Amino acid sequence: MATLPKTDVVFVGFGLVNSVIANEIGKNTALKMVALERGPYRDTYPDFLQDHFDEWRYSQQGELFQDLSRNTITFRNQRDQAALPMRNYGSFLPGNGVGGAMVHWNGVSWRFLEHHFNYRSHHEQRYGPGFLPEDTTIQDWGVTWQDMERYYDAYEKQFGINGKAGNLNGQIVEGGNPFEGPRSAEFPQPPNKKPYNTTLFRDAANQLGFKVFPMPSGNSTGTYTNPDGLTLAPCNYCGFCERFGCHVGAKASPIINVVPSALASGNLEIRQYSTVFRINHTGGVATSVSYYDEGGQEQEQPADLIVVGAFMLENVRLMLLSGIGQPYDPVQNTGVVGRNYTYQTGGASATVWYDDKIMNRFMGAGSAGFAMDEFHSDNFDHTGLGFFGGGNIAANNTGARPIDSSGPLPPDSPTWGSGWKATVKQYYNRSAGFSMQGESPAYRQNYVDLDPNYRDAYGNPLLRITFNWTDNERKMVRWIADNPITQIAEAMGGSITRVGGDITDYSIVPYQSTHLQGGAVMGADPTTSVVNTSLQSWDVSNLFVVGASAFPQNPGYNPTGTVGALAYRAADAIINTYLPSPGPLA
Amino acid sequence: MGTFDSDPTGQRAPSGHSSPEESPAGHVPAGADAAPGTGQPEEARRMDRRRLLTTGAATGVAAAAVPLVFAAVDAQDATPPADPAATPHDMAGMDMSTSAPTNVGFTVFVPYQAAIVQAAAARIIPTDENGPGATEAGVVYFIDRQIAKEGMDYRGNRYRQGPFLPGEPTQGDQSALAVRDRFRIGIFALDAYARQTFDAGFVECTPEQQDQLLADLEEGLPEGFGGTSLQAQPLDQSGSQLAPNIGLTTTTTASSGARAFFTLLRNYTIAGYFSDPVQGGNRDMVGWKMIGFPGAHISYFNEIEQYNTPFQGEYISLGQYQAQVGGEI
Ligand SMILES: Cc1cc2nc3c(=O)[nH]c(=O)nc-3n(C[C@H](O)[C@H](O)[C@H](O)COP(=O)(O)OP(=O)(O)OC[C@H]3O[C@@H](n4cnc5c(N)ncnc54)[C@H](O)[C@@H]3O)c2cc1C
Repeated sequence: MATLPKTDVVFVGFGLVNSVIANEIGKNTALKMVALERGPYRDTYPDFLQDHFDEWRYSQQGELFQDLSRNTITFRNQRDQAALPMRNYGSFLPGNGVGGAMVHWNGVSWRFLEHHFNYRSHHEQRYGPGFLPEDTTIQDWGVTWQDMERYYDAYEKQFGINGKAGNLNGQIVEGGNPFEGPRSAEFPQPPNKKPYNTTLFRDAANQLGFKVFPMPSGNSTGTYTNPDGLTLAPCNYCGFCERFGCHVGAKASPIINVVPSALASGNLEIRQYSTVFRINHTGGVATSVSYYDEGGQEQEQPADLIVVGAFMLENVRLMLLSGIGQPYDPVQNTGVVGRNYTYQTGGASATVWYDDKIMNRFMGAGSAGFAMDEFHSDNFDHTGLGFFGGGNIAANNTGARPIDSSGPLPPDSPTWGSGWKATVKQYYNRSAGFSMQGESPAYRQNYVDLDPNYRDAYGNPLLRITFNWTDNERKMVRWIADNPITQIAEAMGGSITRVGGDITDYSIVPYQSTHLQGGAVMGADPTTSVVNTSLQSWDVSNLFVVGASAFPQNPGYNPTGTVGALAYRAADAIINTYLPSPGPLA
Repeated sequence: MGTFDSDPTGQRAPSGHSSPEESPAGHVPAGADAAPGTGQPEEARRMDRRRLLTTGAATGVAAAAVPLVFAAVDAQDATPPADPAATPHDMAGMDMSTSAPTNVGFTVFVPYQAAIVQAAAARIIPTDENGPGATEAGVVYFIDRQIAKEGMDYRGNRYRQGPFLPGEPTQGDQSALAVRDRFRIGIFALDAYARQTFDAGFVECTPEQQDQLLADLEEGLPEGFGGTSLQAQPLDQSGSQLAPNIGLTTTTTASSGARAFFTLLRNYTIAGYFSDPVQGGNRDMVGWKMIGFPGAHISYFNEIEQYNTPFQGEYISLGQYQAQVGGEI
């Protein structure tokens, strides 16, 4: 093992979070930085421009995702089961490489709602202290929406997010989301173009009186140059979006919007194929990180400041492997690392098939669509409903590559043979779907820890996920499906309609979303959080752990807008508060 | 039959040469004639039987006659072979020259396996009034190429460390069995099941019989499909000195049961029909043309908001696209 020359700052992982923080440090200080990224660097040219249109390679075989043969997770629904490894891509698809998972995301880019940040106190105030079930460990974030606003704004400008404001400085604006918190500025770009199927959803929901608005999107509307002078091209709606890198540099991503600027500081070195496995620390001070280089050799990189932005799973696993923070114990209900693991609740959805309309579903972009928020979280009165929570209801169209999307086919269609073929031919291009993205509350029994049996390619324990839905989510999904979703689906017309509203046990098998949260949550109280409201470790003050791992629970929105905002918040705290006077922040 | 006609594996003569040591009786016919009970003299059938593999103890049914290799990959192809009589069994006398392209063939399958996969794929996506099916798309070549990739299965790089435990359905497939071995076991079992049910190899069954067999698999039948344990069977009553019959016992696991094999076959067939041609299937983009997926289009910027209007552009494969953006290599 070699100990390398010391640097000022070391970054673990180089996706959204750490590219943003490195860029801010690079612009505002003269510190030397080293980034350790387990995957390769790929760029628009030549990688995505010259390949990209290969559904089998990218979407089915997961060219851009974490290499599961080296590192995966184990999973069980509850504690009395043996956790087993996720051997194939399924429920989620973690990123791998410079730029992280935004290289192949859809681009749906939300700000959370105001009451998401004080979720427990909001419910207790509105419904009384006993309203949330006893086994929920839902808690407030320790920051308010107002604290976060300028960081959301910085994120949106950096990444050229498009959409329509619904609340500008307290004024409700027609055409936007009336439920959003007061923004200080309009979106950096106007809404992008919309596929046909999403307009059918919009028209039906509008007709029912719902306030439908353009989905906030990272698929660039036009040519956009950000404050660092980096330029997004206009989206071409090629339909190879989610799971693919963008061939024309139109998808908001660190490789377009941040990394070139961070490198231009001249003070950043990014080491590819470098897998960190431990943060070394003594007496409450982190001294170095240990990693395996591209050849598998162990290296030690000393630094004064360590920032972990390795996505939720590895953020928490590295804390546990390094022995930083007290591991969560669900039996004793003690400890914090691994606590409040949450996901994203799907299952309430509808598909409408038309015999008289052609959708051109193969044209699309990951976040070109429409959404509505009437049934999200506590935007509607839950008195007497028997559940809390809800989600955003939306229609988008990331494309219809035919291996995955020869369906959906109408109920009871043949699954093979000439009957299947005739049905696919008739309906491949004639369906319009929409769904709720439901929230995922935190519960005492859902958590992550180190697996006792399974190891990664280097011999370190895998992360173990123990997770299931509860009756609250099952009722929530059923109710949303039976009410707004059914109403909208019926108003959409069409020849055949199917509404889905059943969830039983969470399964690791089908893809649902790469929205994994918690395990190293932020907060004002060290007994229920791993990092403080500046994303700084309570235990090791020169260590920041940033990402959706910090979410105490997950609303019914995609996480990345808020992950980006947290990265700006951490950067601000590091540059303006921590560096002038290193030590624990308030 | 479109592109498939030009494929060298569709030529009967070379595959007929490939297994010369078959039958001492020298009666080895092509295709269906090899099956028991299809007109061979009783004596010859018994000779063959000693060399047959059987489905094993539970069924005790003779299966998978070795001469099945003569069922060429294009057994369903209506085009007659150039010279159906050209099936000499004397290696020394063989003319090994062929006009077939040198770069087409199978990397994992042997023609016996490829023929069964191709026949099954042709029932999953038949050639019919809605156009070309799995055969014309070259699905069997797609599958052969994909299962050749070490450590990869349908969903990419697989975590392959033990211990291997059965688990709950919510925990996903836990088997240690590699995808190419799933095919190997499943193909053999499907052929054995055809023989047990219809007294003919899968390739020789009628399309209706093949559909029935596949429908059974989809339902999880027969139980014990895909056993892996080789066992010697009692010697033939004829007291032959030749090798004993070989049987497979009937343990079933999630990765090798009938339904699992059907799902595997179906998923790979559909992927081979719809994937970009660069991956070995979807020849001439026949799968895309069937549903109207235009392929590797660099932009729909001008078309995306032309609602309810059929797209008029051409079909473009990744290879064609790469030639445009990358130039000549
Ligand atoms: C297919 C897909 C679609 C998505 N669509 C959306 C969407 O529409 N909207 C939305 O809000 N979100 C979406 N997401 C989620 C979004 O991509 C993530 O929220 C976001 O990328 C998180 O940023 P991050 O910096 O925390 O992690 P990442 O961007 O994943 O970056 C983490 C980096 O750390 C590296 N790393 C991990 N472990 C180690 C280690 N031990 N050593 C060294 N390096 C390591 C990884 O390789 C990775 O590059 C999607 C994700 C996927 C996979």
